[in-house]
Amino acid sequence: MGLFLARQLLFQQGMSTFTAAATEAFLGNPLGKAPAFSNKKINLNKRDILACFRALVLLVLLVLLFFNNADGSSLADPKVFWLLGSFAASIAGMLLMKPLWFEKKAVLPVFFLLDTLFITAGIYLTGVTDTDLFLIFFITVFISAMSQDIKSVFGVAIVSCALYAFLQYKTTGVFFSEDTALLVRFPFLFVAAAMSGFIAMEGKKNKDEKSHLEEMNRFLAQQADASTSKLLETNRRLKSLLEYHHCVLSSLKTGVIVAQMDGTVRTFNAGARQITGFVEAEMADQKLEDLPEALAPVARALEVTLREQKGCLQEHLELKTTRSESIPVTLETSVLKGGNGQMLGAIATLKDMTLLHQMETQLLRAERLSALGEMAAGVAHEIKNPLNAIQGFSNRLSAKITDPSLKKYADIIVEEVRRMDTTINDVLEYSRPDRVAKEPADVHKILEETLAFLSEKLEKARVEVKREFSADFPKVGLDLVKMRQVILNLVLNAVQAMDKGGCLTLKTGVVEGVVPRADGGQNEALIFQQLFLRQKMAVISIEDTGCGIPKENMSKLFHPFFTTKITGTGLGLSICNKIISSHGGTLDVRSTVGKGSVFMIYLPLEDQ
Amino acid sequence: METKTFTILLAEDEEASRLLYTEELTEAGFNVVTAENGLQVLGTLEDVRVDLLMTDIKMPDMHALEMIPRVRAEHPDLPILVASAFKGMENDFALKECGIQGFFVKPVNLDALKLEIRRLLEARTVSAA
Repeated sequence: MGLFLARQLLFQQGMSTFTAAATEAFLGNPLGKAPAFSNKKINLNKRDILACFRALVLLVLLVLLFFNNADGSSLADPKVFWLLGSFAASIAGMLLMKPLWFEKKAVLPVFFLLDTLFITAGIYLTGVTDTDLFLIFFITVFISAMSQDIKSVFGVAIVSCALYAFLQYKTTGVFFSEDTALLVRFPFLFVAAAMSGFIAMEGKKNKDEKSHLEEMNRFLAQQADASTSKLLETNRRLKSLLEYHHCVLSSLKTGVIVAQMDGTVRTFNAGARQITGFVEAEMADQKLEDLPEALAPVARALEVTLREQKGCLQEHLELKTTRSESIPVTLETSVLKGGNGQMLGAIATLKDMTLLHQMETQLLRAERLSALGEMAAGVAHEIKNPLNAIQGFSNRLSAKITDPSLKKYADIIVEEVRRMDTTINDVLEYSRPDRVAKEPADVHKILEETLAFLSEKLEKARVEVKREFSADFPKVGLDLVKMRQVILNLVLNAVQAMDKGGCLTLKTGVVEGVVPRADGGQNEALIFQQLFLRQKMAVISIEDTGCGIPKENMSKLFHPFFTTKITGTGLGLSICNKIISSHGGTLDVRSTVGKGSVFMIYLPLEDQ
Repeated sequence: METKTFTILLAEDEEASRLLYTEELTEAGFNVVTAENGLQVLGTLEDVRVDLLMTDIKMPDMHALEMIPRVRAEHPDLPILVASAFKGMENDFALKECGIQGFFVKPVNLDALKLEIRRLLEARTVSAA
């Protein structure tokens, strides 16, 4: 039973925790299946286990000594009493020691030796050869297996044998008696030592392997955990990096198209879509040569870059879009290089130059106009002086000549001078810096005055007039002289557009915030400002049922010198537009060929 | 009133225009004195009693804006008419500040000019009387 206990113990101990299974074993339930309370752990350290075993040895010693002599006289011997007393004291003493000390290699053998000495003393006190106390040596040998060190097990066996031989020598005078019953005790002890040593070693080996495996397991689990979280982290960072790059690419206004070395499109960003109108999903993975015809310049540039391994720049390129219009773009290609400098493909960037071109055109126009203005003022002055004399004298000629044919010539001169003067005045008007003297004015009155002024003309042209005046139309701050000129001009244009008669509708009203973009497109900053400020605007619209304006002429409508009339200077509408602009307003036009046109004057209203 | 002949001082550097105005105004019954530049205007005003000044704006030696204040200093009530090839000057604030009575843009409508001269001179006579 002792052997069994020791074995069980050796299997379990050393982990410094005694599992419930071990406790079961300890209580004599061999290899019991883990009972219900198996989760409960009883913490037993080496010190406590050793103390238990030594108490067992003490108990055995007591029992054996008690039964050695039938009368129990052995126990009456004060030496035996002292021996057992000090043994018990040593057990109690070791309980005072710290459990940690027993983990040290040298401590356990000391106790084993101490026990051997106690047992030897016990045997000596009870008479050597004739007692069975020798069997207690077996117990110490088994206990010594606790050290899981074969050397200390054999050490204990050797010391036990030596002491026992010494005892025999002491009592019989010879080290080894001829009594085979006694002799056989020595090899038994060694066999027991070898057995328990072996089992202890096996147990230790098993335990070591187990703990090593567990350690390995733990280590691997930790490694796996670490790698997993590292992988997750890397994955997350990679994903956010990808997302970031995707956002950068798709937020760019510049079109980016990337082709791989094999000539397939890899990237076609949102900017490229906005410029060209083609969709990324349809362009990705396409071969360059399979790209739509409209993208041919881009495909060619990418092919060249892939082939020659160097970028190129194409400015002032006209690119067709899916919106069936051509837009000016700047196309630049560059070599896409990997981290090691190896070429991975080619990148094409597309920049929409429409706005820049518009601005350039506007700037050019402004410069041209400014130069024109200066020149016009100078030329006008130089022309008007001689005109003054020519007109005056031809008038005098006309008055003095009695010959009607000659008088006709003089009148022609007068008339032509008047035409010349009109042209010069228009040019001057257009090129003059804006200055408006605003005063609150009754627009309806201006409209009525204009209609009255043109009544004869309207009647002659068989034009019917409709008035749709707003009842609560406020007074508008405007330059009376200039706005009269604008309204007269627009009404005249309307009448001229209706050469076969028609209907002229004059409307007034107030709008807020919404200002339509003038087709002349000259006043975008102003329009933006008005939109932004959500300003109240007065609207005066002049509508005709005339021939209408062809689409191709709409954008040129406000350009100076643009005219479709045989006798016009082409400055009328541009002057109107300029005057309205200098009022902080906008001139808008909508027209349908064959149905008519409507010109709308938007004038800002002061906050009331 | 009918018998009185008004004297008009005409300042114009362009010979053709000067001749035109002179003939037209003389024919209309005015006594016309001419000047070719600003200094001549100032000199003539010192020597001759003038009822009305009609002047160009740009003259070789001085601008009307410079000349008119000097005339005004001596003759605060003299009607002054301006005729110029500079369109747009009719609304010129500085010129109005000088205290001119009328502005004509070249080519000048001679009938309108004569009408205006008569109106100004009659108004002056009435106020003087």
